[in-house]
This record gives sequence, structure tokens and C-alpha cells, in this order.
Amino acid sequence: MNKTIAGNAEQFKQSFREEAREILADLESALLELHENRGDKDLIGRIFRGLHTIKGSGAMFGFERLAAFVHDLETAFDRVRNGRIEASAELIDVTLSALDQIAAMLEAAGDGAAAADAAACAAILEKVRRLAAIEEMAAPERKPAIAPPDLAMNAGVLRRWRIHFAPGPELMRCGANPALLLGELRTLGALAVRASLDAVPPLAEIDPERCYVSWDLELTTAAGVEALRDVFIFVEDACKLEIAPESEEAPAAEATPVAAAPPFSEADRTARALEEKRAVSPGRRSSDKPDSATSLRVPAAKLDRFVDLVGELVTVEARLGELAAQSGDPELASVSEEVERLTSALRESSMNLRMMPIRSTFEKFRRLVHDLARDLGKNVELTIEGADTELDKTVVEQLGDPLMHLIRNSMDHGIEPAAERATSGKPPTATIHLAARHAGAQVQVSVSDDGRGIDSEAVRRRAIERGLIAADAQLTEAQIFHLIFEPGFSTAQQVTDLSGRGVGMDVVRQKVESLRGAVEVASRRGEGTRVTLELPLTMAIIDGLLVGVGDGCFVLPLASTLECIELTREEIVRANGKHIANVRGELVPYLRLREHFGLPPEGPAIEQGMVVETGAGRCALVVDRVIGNCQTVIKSLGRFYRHVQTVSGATILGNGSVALILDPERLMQEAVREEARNRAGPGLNRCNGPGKNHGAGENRLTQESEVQRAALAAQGSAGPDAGART
Amino acid sequence: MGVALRQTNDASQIVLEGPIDITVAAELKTALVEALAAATPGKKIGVAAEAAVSLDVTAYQLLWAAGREAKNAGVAIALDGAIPEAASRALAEIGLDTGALFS
Repeated sequence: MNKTIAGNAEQFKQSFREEAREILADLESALLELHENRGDKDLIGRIFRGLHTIKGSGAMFGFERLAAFVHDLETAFDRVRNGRIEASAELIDVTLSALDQIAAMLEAAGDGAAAADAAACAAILEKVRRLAAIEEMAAPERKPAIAPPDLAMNAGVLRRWRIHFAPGPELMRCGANPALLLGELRTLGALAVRASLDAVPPLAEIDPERCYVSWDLELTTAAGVEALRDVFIFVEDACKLEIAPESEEAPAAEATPVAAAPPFSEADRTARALEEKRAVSPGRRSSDKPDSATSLRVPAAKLDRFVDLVGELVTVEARLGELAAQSGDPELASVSEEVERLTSALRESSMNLRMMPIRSTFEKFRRLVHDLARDLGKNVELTIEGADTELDKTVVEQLGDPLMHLIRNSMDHGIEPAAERATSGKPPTATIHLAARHAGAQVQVSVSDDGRGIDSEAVRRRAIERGLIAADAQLTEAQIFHLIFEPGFSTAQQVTDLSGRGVGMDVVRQKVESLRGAVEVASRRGEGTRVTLELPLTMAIIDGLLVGVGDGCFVLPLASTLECIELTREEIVRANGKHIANVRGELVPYLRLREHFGLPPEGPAIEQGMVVETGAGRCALVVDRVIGNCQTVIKSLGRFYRHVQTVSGATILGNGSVALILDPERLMQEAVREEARNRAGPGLNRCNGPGKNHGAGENRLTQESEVQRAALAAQGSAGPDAGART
Repeated sequence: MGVALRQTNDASQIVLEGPIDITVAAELKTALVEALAAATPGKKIGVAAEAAVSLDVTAYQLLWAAGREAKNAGVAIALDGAIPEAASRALAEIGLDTGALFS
């Protein structure tokens, strides 16, 4: 047996699973839309086709129980699209429940039946049959894997259809079998078949896994063109298909039996008519058709491996650049520059491969909102904006949890019951708005609601009760809102199934910070709350600016660096510790990293201020020297340094040493906090030197010093420690 | 199971056993190409398909193309024994006539 093909069997199954997952997501979305627009025929057709594809493809790839389970759902929506029954809320809900069972069947080995909840499946089918007036099916054989559609709905006039079917190059390879398709057509009515071998090339040129045969068919049936197209629905991208009506015949009651197919000469005539209509010369029609596939499905693991390799290449390229510079050989320098150019282009391309729209993550929350609204007895509409915003695959994948917690929190605590909304003069249907947009090198993803807003006084009281803040602490409203992200914090009177245990918001912060992002909360009593997650565009490789402080090298993300200014020693001394620079008339606060890292305050005669844009405005990070641009492969610092907020990772330089990647936003936040502590009492200003810190900042300083020591220790060594390589 | 090519001085015989479909189509093509390449005047090619459970369209088109080339080259190619009824019927249902393979 051909091992490639044999090995492909499981691959086909896996491809089906992946495709089916996408179809399920689309079905869920379509069902929820249908809930709002019950008569939308496009939606009904989309749902029917989705179910039909899952059933047909499932049967083809060995998921026969799954196909049988979907059969009645398909029949129900066939009846909906034929106007025989209505798309009731009950039918939509039971179909949504069925999707969960289908998803479970898909993930399981074998035909998936074992994974599904048998009792739930039976209850779902019973309900679907009742709602769609489908007769009870006693025997399993009544549910063929590929069954004819509801012919009774189309009974009436028989029509003769001419069908030209030419498989494309990939049809057989993706597991489809023309014989099964023709067999399914035959279940619709009398079928005359004429196969053409005109396109079969010389033996030596035959691709053995491709079908060169094409078919001209004549089908006499009461079924409509949709039913005919549905037969080919899951191969329509892999074939050339033409369906044209020829004539109307007698009513179905007098229909010609299937066995009495039109004579072959009729089929010949049909074929000739089709040929004329196509006005295409006979021959390799299927091969002439351009491949309609414009995208390629690649396993995520392969993509990750590719990006890892590009990362390694970037590191080696940096080393080559350094060696070329040291050698002084112009030819080597030229080659190095060319390698740098190509590596940069490759890096850009590979990063683009990792970018994906956030739509899939957003869309799945329609179901969550629908189900929670039903369970809580609230009317809630989910609106989505910016679903096509692209961000790194890792970020998209990991956003699901924090967004789920935020939405659950909004639904449970934010959105008021209808009666309370009415009292407040709000519309009965509440809105949760999911939005995404690019902002420089970041993406902002926000969840907002028009609920009751956060009671900052209640948060403050709870924080004092829990000992998170002193009773007399002076906090801004923004600082109070941030307390909701503290572990175990909750103001909920009751712990519900949804929230109130004070776990969710802590998870949100942890997850977002692990993605090198930040969370912002804005809320107004009685009007609503907006939580914004600020996330980096990419997680793997960034353009960086290599700078030196003391003996160490650090990387600043180039995207957040606006310009470089010079600060003389005299200017620094003249500022008298105020840390404000005059940049073309604009006063820009700065942070001297030399002081921040606890190094001797005496720096070079002229220091460099890197002006960066942060959420709090422009500010400058002052370093000893700027070394130059570098492509930076981000390496995690590992669990040991996970609490270090101001460093977002590490990278390996061309000379093999390690440089820490600084987070300007966090550095400035940290500086502002320290400044506030400094104002609050003596001995809290870290910039005056190490060893004078107390309170919450001390732990962070200790950890940063450890990072600094680790980086310095790694310099000059062959490579980083294991943590830096992870 | 699958495809086997037997060569003697007087004849080449391709033996088909089990399902002959896309999973063994590459082997069938190799066997047919080799048999045709080894053909000499008077040396005939036989295709024994009695043990074939089924033939799909990929198998049929390979056999049909081999028959066409053998005919053009004046090489004798024929079925050694009959294709099982079920396999022939399944092909006939999609318009492929096993009787026309080497005619």
C-alpha cells in the first residue's frame, strides 16, 4: 500500500476536524444571528449548508455516528428553508446545544460517539424531531450517513437537469470519491451517466492520485437546484461543476422510476449541449481550471518551529554582523549586510504569518452572552468592532480566558436586571461591546458595558477590610479601580456560578501581563464600565534599540522610541534632581536608568535620553550610550523573574551575551510610583541610591537587581542560563 | 493485497488483489509502466484482476491509459480472467465500462 496515502487517512480526519471546527464556529454565529433575524433566508441557508457539510464530510471521513446525529438537524433546517417550519427560539437553542455535542464528537478518537453525552444527544434529537415534525426513527439504518434531502418538501414537478462534473487536481487527494457523489445524486432521481476519458494523459504523465475522468450527467428529479448543489457542497472548491435545467416533466406521482433512466443517447445529447454552452474545447478541462484554493492550512506547531528557526537565524546574523565589523574585511561586511537585509525581510514575513484576526476569539463570545443572558434573565446584546484587527497568534489564543472573565463579570455584576434598568431610564436591552484596534506597536482590546458601573467607594471599603490599603490611603479613582485585579478581591454580595469569587479579574491581569500587556479600567457610576487590554502586536521578534548603561546592554523596543536627545552632566546637575529635560520647548520628564538600577550616579559626560511615548505621555529614559539598532528575538526570563515588571524578556546579542529588554511603559509607571512614595515620605526615593527602599517597591527592586546581576554575570560568557533560553 | 508484477520471458502479468484504489494507484502505475517498457514482439501483458475486491476511478484510468498505449505500440494486453461482478458493476454505475478497457 502507498504509505503516503495510508498515512494521509488520519491526516484527512484531522483536516476534517479542523474544517468542522470552523464550520461549527460559523454555525454558532449564524444561529445567534438568526435568533435576532428569524426570517433571514441567507442565514437559514448558511446553517443548512454547514450542517450538510459536517454530515457529508463526517460520513466520508469515518465519523458516521456524528453524521447520523447531524442528519435530523439538517432535515430540520431543510424544512425551515423550505418554509415548512419556523426557526423558533427553541429550535435555535436546541441546535446550539447540539453543536456542543458535535464538538465533543469531533475531538474524540474513532467515530466520536463515545465522547458525546448519549442522554443529551437523545434528548436533543427528540426535541429536534418534535420541533421539525420529523417522524420517530426507530432503526439506525433510517439514518444513512449520506441521506437524500427532504424530497417530500420538493414533491411536485419533475425536472431534468444537466450536470457537468469535472474533479479538480485535489479532489481525490482530499479524500472525496466521485462514485459516492454520483451515488448520492442517484438517490435524488433517475440518473444517466456518461464518463469522459478525454483528459486522461499518457500513462507516464498520469498523476496516480488524481482523477482525470469527468462526467456529464442527466438527472430527472423533483429536487431543486439547491439539493443538487448540496450533493457537491464539500467538494465545490475542488471541482468544476455546472448545473443547468433542461425541462419540466410530469408530476412526481407519475415520475419515471429510478431504474428507467433516459437512454444513453439522451445523455450524449445533454453532454453535447453542455459542451456548446461552455464553448470550451474538450480535453483537460479540470486541469485547466485554476486552483481556487488561495490559502494553505498549516499546523501551528510547524509555524512555531519556522518562527523559532527565523529567531535563531536573527541571532546568528547579529553574530555575523559583529564578526564582519571586527574583521574590517569589506567583502565580508558586504555579505553580512546582504544577510542582514534578507534576514530582516524573512523576519517580517514570518511575523506576518503569525498574525491572525481576532474575529474568531470575538465571535465565540456571542454564544457565551446568549447563554448567560438566558440564564440570568437579562436582555443583552453583544456588539463587535474591529474583528479584523490582526495580532500575534499567541496573543489571540490566550485572550480567550481574560475576555471570558471580563464578559462574565459584566453580565453578572455590571448589567442590571431589566427592572433596575427601567428605573434608571435605560433601554431594556443592555449592550456589551467588544472592540479591538491598533495603537502603534500595540493592540487595544476592550470590553465595555452600559451597566451600573463600578462603585469606587464599595471597592475602597472592601480593600480596607481586606487590608490591601490603609484606611487613610489617598488613591485616585483609577488606582481604586485597579484594586479589583487583586487576588481574591470581590465586592459581590453573593458568589454565583458566574463570578463573585474574586478569581476572574486576577486571572485577567495575570494573563495580560504574561503577554507583556497592561489593563486599564474606566468606569462611571450608572453609565457603565470599560476594561481595556493593551497588548503587544508581536510576541516573538521585535526591532530594538541597543543601549548601554554601566557595563550592561539593554534593549528598548524601537516602536516606542521617538527620538534621542543628549543630556550633559552639567544639565543633569543643574536640574537639581528634578529629572525634567527641555526638548524644543517641551518639558519632558526623564528617568536615569543608571540611578534606577542602583549603579554609581556618575555617568559619562554626555548621556543619551531616549524619548518614548507611554500611556502617561512623553518621557525619556536616560542611558549612557546608544549602541545601535538590533533585531531582537525575545526570550522568556522564566518563572524566577516573573514578578519583574519592568523587564519584558531577554535577548542574546551577536557576541553571545544577554541583554534585558526593557518595558518603557512599566519603567515610567514604576518611576511615577516611586516619585509618589518619595513625596509621601523620606527615604523612599530609589533614585537617591540603593538600600533606601521600603514597602512594596523594595521587593521589586531586589528582583530587578537580581535580573541585573544575572545579565551582567552572563556577559562575556558563552551563553545565557537555561532560564534565558526558554 | 495490492499490486504485483510478475515477469517471465513470454509474458508480464500484473496481479491485482484487494481494493485497488488511490492508495495503491502509484504502485499500479509503476507496474504498468514497467510491463509496457519490457514489452517485446510476442510478449503479452496480462492483468489478473479476479482477486480485486474493487477498482476505483484512479485504477480504471491507469488501466485504460495502459490499454491505449499498448494498442498504439502493437503490444498485446488483456485481462487474465474476469473482473469480479461487484467491481465491474460499481464502475458501470459511474459510466466506466470494464469491457472497454483493453478493447
